[in-house]
Formats: sequence, C-alpha cells, structure tokens
Amino acid sequence: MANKTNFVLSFVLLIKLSCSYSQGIEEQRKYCVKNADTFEVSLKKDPTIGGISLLHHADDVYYDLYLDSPDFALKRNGYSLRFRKRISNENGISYSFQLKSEMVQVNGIRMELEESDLSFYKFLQDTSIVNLTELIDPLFDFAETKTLTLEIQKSLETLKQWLIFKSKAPILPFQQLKSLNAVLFNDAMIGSFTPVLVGKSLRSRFHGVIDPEQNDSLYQSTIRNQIAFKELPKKLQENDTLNWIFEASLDKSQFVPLEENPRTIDLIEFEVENKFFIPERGAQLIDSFQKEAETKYNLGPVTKSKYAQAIDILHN
Amino acid sequence: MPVELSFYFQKDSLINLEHIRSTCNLLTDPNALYKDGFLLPARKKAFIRYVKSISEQLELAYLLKKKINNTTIELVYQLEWMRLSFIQKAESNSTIKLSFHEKKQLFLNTLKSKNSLRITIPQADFSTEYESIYSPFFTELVDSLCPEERFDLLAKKKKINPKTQMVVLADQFSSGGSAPKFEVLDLDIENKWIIKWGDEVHTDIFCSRLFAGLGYDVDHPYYYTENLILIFDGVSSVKMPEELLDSLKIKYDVNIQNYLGKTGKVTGEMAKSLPSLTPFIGKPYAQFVECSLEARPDRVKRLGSFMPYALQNDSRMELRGSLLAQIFIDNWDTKEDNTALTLVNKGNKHYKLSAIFSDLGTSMGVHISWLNQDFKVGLVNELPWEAVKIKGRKLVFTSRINSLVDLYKKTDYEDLHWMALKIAAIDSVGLRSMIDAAHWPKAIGELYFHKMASRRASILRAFHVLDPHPIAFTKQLTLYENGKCVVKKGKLLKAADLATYPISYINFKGRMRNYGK
Repeated sequence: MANKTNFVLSFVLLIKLSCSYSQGIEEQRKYCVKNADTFEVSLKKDPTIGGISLLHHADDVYYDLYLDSPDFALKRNGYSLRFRKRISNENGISYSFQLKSEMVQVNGIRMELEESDLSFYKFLQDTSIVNLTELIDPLFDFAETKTLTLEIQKSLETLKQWLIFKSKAPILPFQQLKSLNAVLFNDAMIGSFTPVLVGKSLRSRFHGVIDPEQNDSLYQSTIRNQIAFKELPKKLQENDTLNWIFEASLDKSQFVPLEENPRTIDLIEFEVENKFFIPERGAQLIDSFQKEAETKYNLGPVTKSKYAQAIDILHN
Repeated sequence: MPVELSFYFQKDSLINLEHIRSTCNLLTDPNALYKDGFLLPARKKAFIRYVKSISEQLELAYLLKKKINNTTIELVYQLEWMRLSFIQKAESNSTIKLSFHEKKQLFLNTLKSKNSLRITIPQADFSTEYESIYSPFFTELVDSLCPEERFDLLAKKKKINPKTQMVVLADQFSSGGSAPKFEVLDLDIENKWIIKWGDEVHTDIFCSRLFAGLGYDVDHPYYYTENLILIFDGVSSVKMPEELLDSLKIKYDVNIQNYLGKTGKVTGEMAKSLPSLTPFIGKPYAQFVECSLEARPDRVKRLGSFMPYALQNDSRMELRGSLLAQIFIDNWDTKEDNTALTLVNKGNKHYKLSAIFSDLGTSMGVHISWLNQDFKVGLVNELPWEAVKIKGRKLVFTSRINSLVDLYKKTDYEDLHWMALKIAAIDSVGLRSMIDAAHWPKAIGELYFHKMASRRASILRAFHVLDPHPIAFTKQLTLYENGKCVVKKGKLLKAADLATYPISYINFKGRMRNYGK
C-alpha cells in the first residue's frame, strides 16, 4: 500500500514538474544488454529495428560522481545526485551537477535537472582558491585508478566542506530537493551528502530516425517531427529527409564505491529517449522498435537507474 | 551607497550571506512561483546564469572575509537591481489592463503636466563642463561616431540583423499594451520580433533612433512594407491571416484590415525569387501595406522596469536629463513600464545590464480625447514648433506627459542643460537620416524635419547653447504633391489625408476608436 501511495505521489509530482518546467522531464526507456559487443556489431550490419534506423553520430566518455547521505536517503527516495564530466569529440569537456529521479514505470518519465555550468563555482582548499571542477577531477580519476590517494582524500574532504557550506546556496539540485520534500531534504541533510560512487561510461550515441530509403511506407505514414530547426541535431539539420523520432545510446559502464580495494560493478545498457513532438505517437513508434529489439537482440527492459542498480549490487 | 544595499552587508562590513542567498534563491529557484501574492515571471536561462555568477563571486568574497569594497558594492547593486526589476515585472504582469482609476490618474497627470513642466532659470552661473557618463543608463558618444550611427551600432552588438527582405514565422500574441502587435520568429528561430501596426509605426522608429543618438539604449524597430512576409507554418496557434485579424480585433479591438496586403499560399515561383521561402511552399502567408518590426533578440533578456525610483537612480543626471529628450520628441506615455532593465549577452558567456527607454512611439504630436478615453500619436499638426518657451525667469515646456515620475520632479536646470548639449550634437544630416528611417509619407517627413529642427533650436536657445550645427527650417513650409498643396504654412492639410495610408495623419480618432475606420 505504501509503495502504491509513493508511486502515485511520484507520478503526480512529475506531472506537476512537467507543467512548471518542461525541460526538466525526459521520457526514457532502458534495456539491459547481455552482450554489448555482439549487439554493437549487429547494429553496424543492420541498423534498422522496428522500422527505425539507428544513425551512429558520436562516442562520448562520461565520468559520474554520485552523492548521497550516509543512510542513502536519496537512493531510498528514488533520486540520484551526481557530478558529471562529459568528454565528447564534438563539444570537448563539460561538467554538470545533476539531480535525477527514478523512472516512473508506467510512462518512462524521469525528472532531470542540472546546473549545466560549473565554471564559476570556486571554494577554499586550505588557503588556496580552487575551482569546483579541480576538486572533483581527482575523484573522477578514482574510476580509473581505484586507489584512494592522498590527493583524492583531500579533494573528498574539501568537497564535503563545500556541500556543508552550499546547502542553502542557489544551486538547482538543492533547490529542487527542498521543493520535493522540505522536511527530509533540509539544510542539514543536504550538508550531510558525501561522494559514494564513481563511474566511467563509454557511450555510443545514435539518432533514431525513419529513413525513407529503409522504410518508405512508415516514412509516408508518419507526420514529420515538428521541432524548431535549431533543436535538431546537427546531422539531421544537414539531412532533412530523415524524420527524427528518438535519441538512443549504448552505455558500457563501470562503477566503484569510494573506498579502499573497491568492488567493481559493470553495467551495459541501451537507452532510448523520446524526441517526437507528439509524445504518444513517438511512444507507439518506440513500442514497435522495442518489440523487435527484444526478440532480435534479447534486450530486457530496465527501470532502475544505474546508480540504484550499482548500490543494490553493493549492498547485497 | 543606496539604502537598499545596506541589508547585504553586516555591521562589521562583511557580506551578509543569508541576505545574498535569499535574493539569489528568489531570482533563480524555479519552484518559487509567487512573491507577495504576485506570480513571478519565467526566469530565463541567461538571467539565472548571471545571477549565479554574481552570487558565487559574493560567496567567495564572504569566504575570504572581504570587507565592503567597490567590487562587492557593484555586485550587490546589480543583484538588488535585478531583484527589484523582477518583482516590478511580477506586479506589472498582474495588471495587464489599466483600471478606470489608473486611466483617470494618467489623464490628471497629463493635465497637471501642462503647468508643472516648467523650470526656473538659475540666477547664478554654474559650470557647463560635465564629466563623461558611462553607466548602464547612458553611454557618452565617442567623437568618431555620428549620433545617427549609434542605433545601428547598438543593434550590431545585440546581433540584430534586419534583412532588406524579411521572412518571419507566426508565433504568438504579446501581452500588454494597447497597440495591436504579434510576435514572430525569424528563420534563425532564436530571434523573436514583434510586428506592430497603428499610429506608432513611424514615431517609434524615429524616436528610438533619436534616443540612441543621444546616448541611451533603446528597442530596435524597423519599417517594413511588402518586403516582410509573414508565414503561417502551422506551428503557431494562429494558422491563417484571417485568424490573425480576428484575434487582433478581439484582443485590441482594432481592425488591421487596412494594413493587410497580399495574402495566399507560398508558391514555387515565390520561392524561386526568394529561396528562403522554399521550405514553406504551400503554407499560408501575409504581407502588409506597412508595419514596424521590433527586434527581441536572443542576446537580450528583458526583466522589468529599470527602476527609476530605486537605488538612488533619481540622482543620476543622465536619467533626470532624459526629461528634455522626452520633451524634444513630445512623448506622452512616460510611465515606468516603458522602461526596461535588460541583460545583454556580450558573447563568451559575458553579460552586462543595460537600461532601455522602450515604447517611445507615443510621441511626435499627441491628441488626447478625454471624453472617449482615446489618444492618437504621430499627428504632425499637434506637434508644437517650439519645445520650450522662455517666460520671464522660467522655461515653459510645451509637451504633456501622463506620468511625472519622481525622477522628473527632481530634474533641475543643470540636468536639462546637460541634455541640451547632447541634442545640439544632432546635425542636419543626422536628423534627416532618422526621419528617413521612419518612412513617413514624404510631405509629412519633410514637415517633421522642419518641426524637429525648430524644436531643437528652441531648446538650444532656451539653454543658451551655441548651436554647433545650425539646421535651417521654416515655419511657413508649403509643399505640393502631384500639383496639389499638401502642406501649407507649416500645416498638413486635409487634402494630404490620402486613402493609400492605413490610418489618417489628420483624424484624431485613435486606437480606442479603431483609428476612425
């Protein structure tokens, strides 16, 4: 009963959020991939699934540093909070601070909010002024080295101080958590957040499009995605015959808890995010895609975030 | 330091972090929807980013235990300015339509201004050497720049690119104001524009250029005829030209039928001569006999008013002196709402705050009808030949304004003298160029040229400013068009009230009476 109430409350909350600022919502489906290499090779050979063609356009690297309270209040309440470093061939290196909700199973909707520019955040480390990104970079390195060096430990301590100092500051994930549950996510709770998990993901990114050369009947029967030109990905701006339906990515991730001799957790996931201007029609097209992908590549739907999966594995 | 800023500092001169955070959270938290019962405006990304960048500088200053200094005062000033303007916008949004009481007040102010717009000439001499002003309200013109060039320079900095042939896409209706208008997007999508029709089409264009030439920041309206094509591409809720007309009639009670030019569907032939139309073949379009197209560039984010009452702004010479510029153009609607605080993206994530004099079009000869609660602007015969007259020891101004803001009540002779020097810098070429940009009918443009030259001369005479660029004019101007006298002894004749123009330049019936149509 309690779970059902929580679910309904979460759903109502997400609907409320979608009304107040639509850019904070994404409609996403996730699938676990049993054999990523075979799946990748197959996609290269035959990139059309359920009438939708997958157009590979980028390979990015992500580093994620997840924060939570000592009793994992964020995870228990269906949220994940992370610093992300993205290395992309197209846009170089960027940093963000993101709050995400777990997926609402019924419609695949997730809340995602972020501070997308961390360049002006500075703090004191001993007596020196350091950029926030300088503080978190050594922690991202832990995903590679898996060794708690003195530098990492120092960064960890300073980052904890930053979180205590900033609990009342105008930082979007903190503002959002207080709005979601002011009693639970009070200043003291936010100040207690600490880095718990680091991950590295190799992400292959695809545009999911209807290509008239691959499936003319579906192309003819599907209204064109009416999205402002500037909102279209660059590749699709250059080729206006393709009808953009979704974005997809194949993530090969490895997570490690921030502790000595950490256990590693490997996760491989394929994600699809609806980009069609009529979400219901986009969802129908994704349904067909999903049906064929499940049969052809043995993909299984996943609803839990990578953070929740990794913490569950670590705790069991 | 303005009193409003004192709350941002503690008694020991250190930063009051709690107060800083309270302001920054109000300005950036999307969950804070109301303040004092008023719905807060949507917060734009660039605005949030700028507030946070200021907040972070102040947080670091707090960590470093920095005592109050010019840098922290400047940062706190900007923060408080944005807060006040943001709240003002929320309050202003809550009253889209003026109440009967507010209208009555505007008319009473107009009446009062006839007696109150006068100033005593000081007996004692004062220094006529003024320091150059470079503030968010005013930028002194450099010697290499002519006043008439500054409008385009400002536009260039804001990445405004008005093409000779504009294709725009229907978007949505604007809120506020009484003149019919409609928001559109250019083909870059990022830049919004507002199409406006009615009696302000020419006046707004001229007056914005004039204010820019004096040193102020302004909106950027441009004149278009059939060289503007409005496409209804199906994305907007307004799908057809007829729907636009009907909706404007409902919203503003103004029928813009007389402004409507060609309509139809975009053809391949049209796309051949104008390739940017190609994606829209088969879509409905409309052209107009005339309209103004005002830029709302992505690089400029508007907040609320620029707060003439707050932060000791009423002590600024550049703001107090602006009264003479308002009088020069005979602007009637001087309400606080016709000012704007803007955040301008200078590129590479650098921003600056800039104060704008907006909606300057209710000017250049205004007739107010008390009985019909109506007004009309741009009536050349209503614009007095003299902007100021000397009566004994007093200067008496001929304009009437609907809102004598406190700022203007504090204006003194010296402030106006400072502005008179700026007006003196406008020469014949500059004035002609600004008049030409407004595209009045030829005879009316010529009559305005002579009237503005006369008004300028009256100002310089009143303030004993030696005219560096005397502009020849005659109050007895007489003009013929096609053998017919249209301007006689400085007055536009009824004969010039040609049917080819959407609204009359003679008839007093304004927007409240559908321009008499």
